[in-house]
Amino acid sequence: MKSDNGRILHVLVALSLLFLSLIGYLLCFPLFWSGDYTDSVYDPRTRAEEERILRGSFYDRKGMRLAYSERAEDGTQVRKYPHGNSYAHVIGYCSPIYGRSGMELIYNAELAGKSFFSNPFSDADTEPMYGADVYTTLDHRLQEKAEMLLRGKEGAIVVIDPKSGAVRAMVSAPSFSPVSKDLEENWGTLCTDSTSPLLNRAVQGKYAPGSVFKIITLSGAIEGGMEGELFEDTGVYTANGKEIRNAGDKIYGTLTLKDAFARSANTVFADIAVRLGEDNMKKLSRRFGLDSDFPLEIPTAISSGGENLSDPASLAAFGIGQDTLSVTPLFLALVAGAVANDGVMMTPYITDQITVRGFSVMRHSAKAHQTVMKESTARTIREYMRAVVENGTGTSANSKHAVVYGKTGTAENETDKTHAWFVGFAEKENKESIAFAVLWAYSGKTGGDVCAPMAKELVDTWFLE
Amino acid sequence: MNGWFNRQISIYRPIFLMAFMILTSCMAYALTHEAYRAEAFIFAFGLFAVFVCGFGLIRLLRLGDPYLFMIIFALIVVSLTMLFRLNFSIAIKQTLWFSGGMVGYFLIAAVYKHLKNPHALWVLCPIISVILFAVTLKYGKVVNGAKNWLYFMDNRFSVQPSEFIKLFYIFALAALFASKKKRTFKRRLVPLLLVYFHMGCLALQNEFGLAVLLFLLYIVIAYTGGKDKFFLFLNVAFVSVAGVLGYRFISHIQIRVAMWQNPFSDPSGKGYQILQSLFALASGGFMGVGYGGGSPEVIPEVSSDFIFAAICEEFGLMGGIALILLYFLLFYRALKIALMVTTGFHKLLAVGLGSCIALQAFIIIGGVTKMIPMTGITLPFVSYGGSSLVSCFMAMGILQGISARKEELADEIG
Amino acid sequence: MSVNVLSLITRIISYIFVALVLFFVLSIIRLIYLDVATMRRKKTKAGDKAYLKLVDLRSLLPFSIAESYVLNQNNTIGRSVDCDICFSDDTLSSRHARIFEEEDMFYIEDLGSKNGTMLNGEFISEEDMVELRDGDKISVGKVTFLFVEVRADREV
Repeated sequence: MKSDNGRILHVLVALSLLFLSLIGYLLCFPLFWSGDYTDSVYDPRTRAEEERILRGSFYDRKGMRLAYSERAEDGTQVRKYPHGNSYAHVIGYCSPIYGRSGMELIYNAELAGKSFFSNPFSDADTEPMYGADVYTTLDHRLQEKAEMLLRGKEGAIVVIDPKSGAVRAMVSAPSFSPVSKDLEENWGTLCTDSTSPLLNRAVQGKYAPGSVFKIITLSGAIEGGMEGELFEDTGVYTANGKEIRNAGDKIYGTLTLKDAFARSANTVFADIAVRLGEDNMKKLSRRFGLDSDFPLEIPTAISSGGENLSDPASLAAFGIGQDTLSVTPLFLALVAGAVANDGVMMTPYITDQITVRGFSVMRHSAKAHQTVMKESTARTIREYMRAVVENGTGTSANSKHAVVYGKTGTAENETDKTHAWFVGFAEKENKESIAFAVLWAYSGKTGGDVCAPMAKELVDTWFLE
Repeated sequence: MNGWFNRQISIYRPIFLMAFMILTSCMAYALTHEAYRAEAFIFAFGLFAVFVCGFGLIRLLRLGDPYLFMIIFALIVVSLTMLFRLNFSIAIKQTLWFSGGMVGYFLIAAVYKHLKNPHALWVLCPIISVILFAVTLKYGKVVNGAKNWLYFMDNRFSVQPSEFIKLFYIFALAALFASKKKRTFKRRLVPLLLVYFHMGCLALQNEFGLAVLLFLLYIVIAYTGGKDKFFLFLNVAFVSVAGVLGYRFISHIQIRVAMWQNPFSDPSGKGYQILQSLFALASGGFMGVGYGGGSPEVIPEVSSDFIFAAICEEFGLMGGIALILLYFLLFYRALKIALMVTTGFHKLLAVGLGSCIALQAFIIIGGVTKMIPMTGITLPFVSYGGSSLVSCFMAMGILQGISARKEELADEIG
Repeated sequence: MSVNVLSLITRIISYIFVALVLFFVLSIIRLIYLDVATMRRKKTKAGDKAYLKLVDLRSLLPFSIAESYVLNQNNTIGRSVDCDICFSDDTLSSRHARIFEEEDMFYIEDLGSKNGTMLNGEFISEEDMVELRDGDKISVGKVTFLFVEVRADREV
């Protein structure tokens, strides 16, 4: 009988352990695993909750409504995008079937009214429930212009405020209709289309920057004390047996650094990169944000390149924006912004503030991301970028309404059609300046020919108000 | 003996708490169901009256352990609170079953208390089991993939015989393992035959959850009986092999395991049920969304197998854990009775009955929370289902009877 | 009343309900713990000489009490928590009686209780020490104990 009781105690202990593990598991459940089971599309609760609360709206910086929800006659919600495809990438879509993208995804909880404590004393019967509204920094006129400029092309435009980092326009082409009904119709083609219309090229597309990257090489040259030097261009630069020629096989002869930049002399900048050396070039490009993520609201691709520069041929190609370099349009807009902002790169952002029933619950404040060059360097580069527009490769960007600074780029890539770039900024007294990156990918044309005029139109739109 | 915890408290304290429990649950119901406010309070009063009467009956008839009934009643209160919110007509039916179960409980306890040589009755058990199995296999209806329902009177009245087979099985096993006769090979074979016969029949009915439960009960009872350790080990090994083979060849089991590993692999088909249960759990969180605030009705089978998910959604994991603690307490009381009684048979019977409730609760709670693969068995005392409720009451009635038997009142100092 | 206030109240009531269930579990655990604690005390002092054993059927008493109490050098019986042997019998005085050991003999005395202490059916007068022998029945309040004394030398 004694040992009988002993075995009964064993049974007690064994089952106690089972129960303890069950309680332990249950305690862990909301801590670790419940995330897998919240807001699931298969959960009728999610749908019911989202139907109950009218989804919040998106506004541009002047209060223009960019996306909003309305109740249909049967009481269900319909998401409306009054400006067609213009905001398909940055604001994204909100579909009950395909989920959400862009800012619709990032601010889903706020828009659906989940993140804020609802007032328990409000009368739920009479007062309709609204989600939070998101006020963006986007400028509707600029955004529409940019969308129009890129229509029918493959490319992207990013416009930012260099002083604050606020994104003024972000367009990717080709685009698509974010309306749920259209998505349901076209989803198959959107997903399989070789031009990937769903991709936000402005922040997630990566392209060779070409000559635009010379802005970064130039800052290295200036800070390395090469400003006063004269460069001898023979039309060809040979590094480790590989030849680098100027665009159109031009030979410029003796050049100042400024002229070399304005005319985009490849031989000179390849030489500079090799002279600065592998370590310096790597450090330089890292400082500008290569290989690092920008904390934008929507997910961005990391611009990359220069993994292996020990070969002088690679280093020379790297200096003129080729080699393995592939960067996002946002990255280049931020580089231009840093020049305009005296060497300080600002953190980009799209959300100005979030409001609940008219009360601001979150307001963004501008933050510096990194100081990428000395103020004096930035002033010199600014001068050089002005020369590009005044009498260099980017003259067609010159505008009557503001002072435009820029750099053209024509980047070689895996196809025989080059990417055309124009990256720069524009200023006018008593007016907020803008920095921009304009990309027409696989255009087969030069940046100065096709992108500089697009940039001019953007500048005119912005400053002619 | 000066700490707060071990200060003496009156045995009446749980009764007061029970009154408050019933009152709060009835208030919650009245607040969420305007049409039935007065009825809710009358019902609550009746429930408490039943509790007090039951408690008095145990005192009056000297039915032994006073805690057992209190714990069971707490489970019933939780169950009715939830069922009334989920489905009114089902809850009314469950109330009727509950009344019947209570009567059965006291009747069995009172009879069992005076029964002479109850273990001699074991021979009847396998016979009844065989008859029940035969009838189920012949006339049973298939519900949720398992053929385990018998319908009477134009489908108005249904019984799940396997719920009762469980009790006979425990009774027979306890008697066999407590037998003091010399253990010949033939005598060793009898319990084995019993175990494999039951498991085989349940497998034929596609009731794998219950088959697992019965085998676990065999392990518990055989281990406590303390005989044939090697034999027990052999059997566990054999059944493990059989389990692996079963997994290889029976698609029903494969699906259950696959849905346990990744319910999202078929979210609107085979994984639907378990996913809905997990959504309910996640939506409840620690504290729950409050009585009537959630939407547990989207879970299929919510009033029977998945009632734990509904409780977790509305009362939170804290409510769920409170329920688990109640089961644990019930199990502890059963083992306490097993420790106190003197005859080997009653020790084994008490351990078997207590473990049955505890293991059943563990298997189904683990199943609906995706801790272990889902198997369709009921949550004792809480799930909707007449057969389940009555059989649980019967099991606990026997336990109450054991605790009341005079010859079992052991001298505790020994 | 607005729907939101209603749902807030039901939510609070739900919390109270869960708290009550937990409290219920706790109080039963406490009652059980008291049983176990007395059992454990017995176990650790297995060589002890004397104990009080409950004569009444414990489950019939309207309060929780141990089946037996091991006696030390000095034991007070009463309703007060400070007493060594304490149970919440309302006919018991807060400090009711005392059992103590002197020179290998146990004695009982009444501490001026309201309802008195009985030894083998007879009241013991106040301020009188009575020697206890194995098998004596001690009644306090509603409860009767059997005094059991095990002596190694006497057992032989």
